[in-house]
Amino acid sequence: MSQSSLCSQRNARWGLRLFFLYLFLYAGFIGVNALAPEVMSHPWWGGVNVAIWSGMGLIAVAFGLAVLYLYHAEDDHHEQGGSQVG
Amino acid sequence: MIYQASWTAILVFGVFVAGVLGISFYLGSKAKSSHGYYAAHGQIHWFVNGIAFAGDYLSAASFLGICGMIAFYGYDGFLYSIGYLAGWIVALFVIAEPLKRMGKFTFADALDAQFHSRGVKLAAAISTLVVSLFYLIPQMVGAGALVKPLLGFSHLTGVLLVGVVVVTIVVTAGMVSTTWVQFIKGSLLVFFCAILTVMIMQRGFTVAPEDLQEQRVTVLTSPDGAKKTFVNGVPQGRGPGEGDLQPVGHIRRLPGDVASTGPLGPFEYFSVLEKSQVEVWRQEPKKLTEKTDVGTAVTTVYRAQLKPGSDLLVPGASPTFKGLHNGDWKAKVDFVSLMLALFAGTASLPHILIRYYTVKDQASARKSTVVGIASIGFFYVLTLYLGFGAMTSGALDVTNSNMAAPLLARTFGELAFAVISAIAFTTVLGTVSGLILAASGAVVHDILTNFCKIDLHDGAKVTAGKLAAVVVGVLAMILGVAFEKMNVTFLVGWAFNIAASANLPALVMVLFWKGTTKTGVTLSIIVGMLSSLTWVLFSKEAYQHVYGLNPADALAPFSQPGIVTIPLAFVVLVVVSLLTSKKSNSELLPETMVHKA
Repeated sequence: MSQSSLCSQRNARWGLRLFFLYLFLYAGFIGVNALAPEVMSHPWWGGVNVAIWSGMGLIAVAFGLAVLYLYHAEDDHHEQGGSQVG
Repeated sequence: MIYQASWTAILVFGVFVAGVLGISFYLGSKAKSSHGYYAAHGQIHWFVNGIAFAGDYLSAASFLGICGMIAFYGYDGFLYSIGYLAGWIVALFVIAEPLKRMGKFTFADALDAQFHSRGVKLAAAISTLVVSLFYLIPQMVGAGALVKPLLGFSHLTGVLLVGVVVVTIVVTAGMVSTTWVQFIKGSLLVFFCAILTVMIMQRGFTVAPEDLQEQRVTVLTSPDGAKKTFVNGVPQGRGPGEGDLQPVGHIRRLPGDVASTGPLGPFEYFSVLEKSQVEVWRQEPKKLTEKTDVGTAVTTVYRAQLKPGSDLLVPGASPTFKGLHNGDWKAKVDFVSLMLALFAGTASLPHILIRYYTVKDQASARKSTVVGIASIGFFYVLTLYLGFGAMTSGALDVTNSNMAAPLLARTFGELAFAVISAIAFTTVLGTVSGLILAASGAVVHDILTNFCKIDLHDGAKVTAGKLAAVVVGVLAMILGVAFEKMNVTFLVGWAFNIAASANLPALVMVLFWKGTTKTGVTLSIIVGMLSSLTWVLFSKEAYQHVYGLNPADALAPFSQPGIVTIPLAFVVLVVVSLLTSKKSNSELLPETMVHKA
């Protein structure tokens, strides 16, 4: 198998893992809103409720996972350090 | 509300549009080949492309619609922000790299890479056209809503103005200039909204004295069809004996009964709002109709309501999601369906997908997506502050939720208003040009060249693309006028539903299931597109706002089709692929053998 498709497969595996992790969190957020909406109004940290924290949290986690993926992904061609940010 | 145009606003607006057009003409002179026109020669730097993603994606709907929805109903608008951003996870982790590897100009290329089937190409091209047109509607409606207060033009003039400017941009230079317009607009939008957010937090909350409780807008249609608008019983206008709607939305009580909070921190902002009383305005569900000698008068009544801030900081205050708290299963299904469509829709939007062909390789595709997620995510966090800022600044027009963000900016002065409105206008320009380009690529590359097998030389491909851009632009203008009354975010939600139902199942299965056949892909796209489109056209919102019919008669059981139509398209793909793969095995036998048998 070529270097190229090995890298692509590795990236795809990583991508799917992170995708399912995020899907789990996102589905959890939707599930709580649909089945137990009262949880969302509970005050959490700093007098700010669960709804605001979980919403902002989902946005922050998306960015965190994206950076993690960038760190782990490899390029298809032989570039020095090409997988890093920048 | 009647908005007065100001010279500052017109001047700033003029400078912005001239600047954008100037850049477009300059860059346009460099792109001559079809690869340059449709894919910017694949040479855009990943950082520029990443911000251009933000410019492409943060459309009028994100900016005007979400801010407006939060300003009117609180947290419900933020649900869209969360869903829109989550969609990028699908784009980055599942779609981006294989799509870049398999395609050249359009996503139909990638879908069809292993089949070489004209059917797949045609289905993908038609779905690109339908999704792009549906996504264009809210952008044009947003354009009309913006130009009205800014330049004092009518909705129609606003729509025409955007249409003409955008078609000029696209026709001039294609993807290179579109990318730079989107880059500039993306940077400006995020930067100025961040400044506006800081200003909102610095100002904090101030209690306003109670005054108005009710506002009435009456439209009198005389027997000859002429319409006249009255506000609270007097003709709408600024002259003597005339009146206009009052800007609304105030804090009525703050924790500790203080009159003003002074500057607030980013989290303090919500903890204070949570314990405050906010005056919000709601339209009475029933309009009053009266027939008199001079014509038919239809009156819409808006009433002030006092709400605890804690009710506005959780989902469920808008008409769409109000059933979340009282066990209404339809509202819950609608909610889950919308969130599913937003999650699955981003990676199915043709104008986002074509941006993967403007960078040189998969690593650039990946990096630019991460830059996109960072800037888009940051902007969506800002929408909460902008929305709640608009809700409590006494600036809202009860008749138009789409104007909340620019009207909020106006409370900080004419210049802030002018800058934010001009940015919002370039926002529309950026997104609309991307959409028109995607549609024109589908017509020329997928339909003319690949499906009809018309052998166009390179220059003719560009000319045909420009012609297609003009046609799509004109269609978008017509639709922008027809859908004037709807909240733009809601319309975008529909476009996501259609995109996710038509394109995502095909994309995902082509990438991850070897058993996928060309007939399966073609039928999945067609069934996903038609089922979601039909559903949307028979929903209660379409009945009420587009056809003017009784929403109770609507045939669709709930508004957002995604939860039914996305799985349906998956099922169609799998079942048809399983059926046709057996058939294709027999087709593999030499024809003579089949005949003899």
